[in-house]
Amino acid sequence: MSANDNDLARELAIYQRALQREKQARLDAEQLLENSTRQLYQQNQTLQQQQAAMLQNEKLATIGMLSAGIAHEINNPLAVVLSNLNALTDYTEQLLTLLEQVQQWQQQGTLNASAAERFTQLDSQADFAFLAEDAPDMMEDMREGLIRVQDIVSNLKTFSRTRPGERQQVDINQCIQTSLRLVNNTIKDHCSVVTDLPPLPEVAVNNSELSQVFMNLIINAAHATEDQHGQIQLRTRQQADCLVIEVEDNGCGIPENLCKDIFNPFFTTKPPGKGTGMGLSVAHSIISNHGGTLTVNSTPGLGSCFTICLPLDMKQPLSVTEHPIKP
Amino acid sequence: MKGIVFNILEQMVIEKAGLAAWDQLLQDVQPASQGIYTAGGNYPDEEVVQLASRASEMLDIPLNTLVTAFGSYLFSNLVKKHPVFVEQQPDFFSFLKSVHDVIHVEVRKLYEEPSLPHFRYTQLNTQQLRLEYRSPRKLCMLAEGLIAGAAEYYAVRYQLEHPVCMHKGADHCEFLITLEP
Repeated sequence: MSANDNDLARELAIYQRALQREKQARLDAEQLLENSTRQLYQQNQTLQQQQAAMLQNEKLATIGMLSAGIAHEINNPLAVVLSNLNALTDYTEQLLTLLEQVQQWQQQGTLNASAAERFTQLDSQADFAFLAEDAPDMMEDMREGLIRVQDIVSNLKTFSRTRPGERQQVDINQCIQTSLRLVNNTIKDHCSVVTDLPPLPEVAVNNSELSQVFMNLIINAAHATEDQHGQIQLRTRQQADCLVIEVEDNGCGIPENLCKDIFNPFFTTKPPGKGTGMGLSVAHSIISNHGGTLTVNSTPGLGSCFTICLPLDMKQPLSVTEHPIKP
Repeated sequence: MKGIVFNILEQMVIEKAGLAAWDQLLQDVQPASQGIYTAGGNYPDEEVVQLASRASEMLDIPLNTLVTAFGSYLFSNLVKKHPVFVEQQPDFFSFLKSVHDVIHVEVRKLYEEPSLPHFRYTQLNTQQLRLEYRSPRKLCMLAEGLIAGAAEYYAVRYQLEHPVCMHKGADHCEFLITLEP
């Protein structure tokens, strides 16, 4: 091999090494690009989830404001209607007593002929017997309907309340057990309840509001297991700086397309007259006002698990990113 | 240190001394990266120091002179890649003052943990700027080269004093830049 050939071979080796380095550098660059793209995709996903949670919160806030106005406007005429209905019930009872007396006089023949004839004429037109039987039922139905409207208005007020109610140091486990006792009669025929409530530090909450949340969730869970004798599990635990409360059932679950709506006011899957659709939205609102989060994880056919995270320090609300509203 | 610095160092060595010189440099230094540098990658700081030291021996140029020359070369190549940063600044001093608050902010958007140096500026008068440089890498000579590259771009003549230096036991370096008429 000549000196020239040696030089060429050396030069070729240099270029080959340079080529190898370039090839490897290109592979490294592609790997970097792939990693960055993956990271970007994940960040985009997180951003979309946060945006969805933000939209949901904004929607609830808007509905909250509207609700406050509606509740205020309905409340005053409602009070008048309820009060008048109570008075009308009394009046009706008195008129029915009078009617009964006239009927007795009619039967006893103590009415004069023209009065008896007029009463018979009126009775054939109005059917007093039916009227006497139906009127109290109608009054009662109306009263029940109005009390239902009153409940809805009261729920709307709770939902739209922005200021925290009176708070005290509460043992959440005790609050859950009290709620359970209150709803026991309603749920005992549908399902059994299993509790896992290890000791927890007390937390400053509004006891009656929290109790309302637990009752709503337990009753919902019981309704979800209505068709099969189901089981509800109530679990609590401390996780870092918050208390976690889980209400899990093995009921029918929630279809994926409905999950996004369940915290909206007036959203219900129950038949008309069976639910106001305010339970979960009120629960969500109460937990949010306590600086916590309420989320759901559900599999149709297998059941649902509602998870509440309450910050131990109520001055530090949990951020949306830590506990997003799902889905 | 970001791979782009190594890419430009490689480009300078090849341009000035040929591919064989760069190949020899890598054979001599045997860097952990095997000389495979990607602009967006991170590589040990020692490698640039080892490569510069060996290049200084090979080319028989004092290390400080070589590093400063590289700084100037680095600047002109970075300008080709990202011209917007100089286009946004009307003069030499405003460019130097934008390094920390504009350029480094943009670098952080592109690269994770770029471990950038920290600069502080004091404009003493229209002709004088005091620049404080802090970096665990202590690459003040490279900074001097980058300043020289910027001065060349803005076509200004200047005098540079380096009265406080990390290589003389200080916790930071100070450059006093005075514009010449």
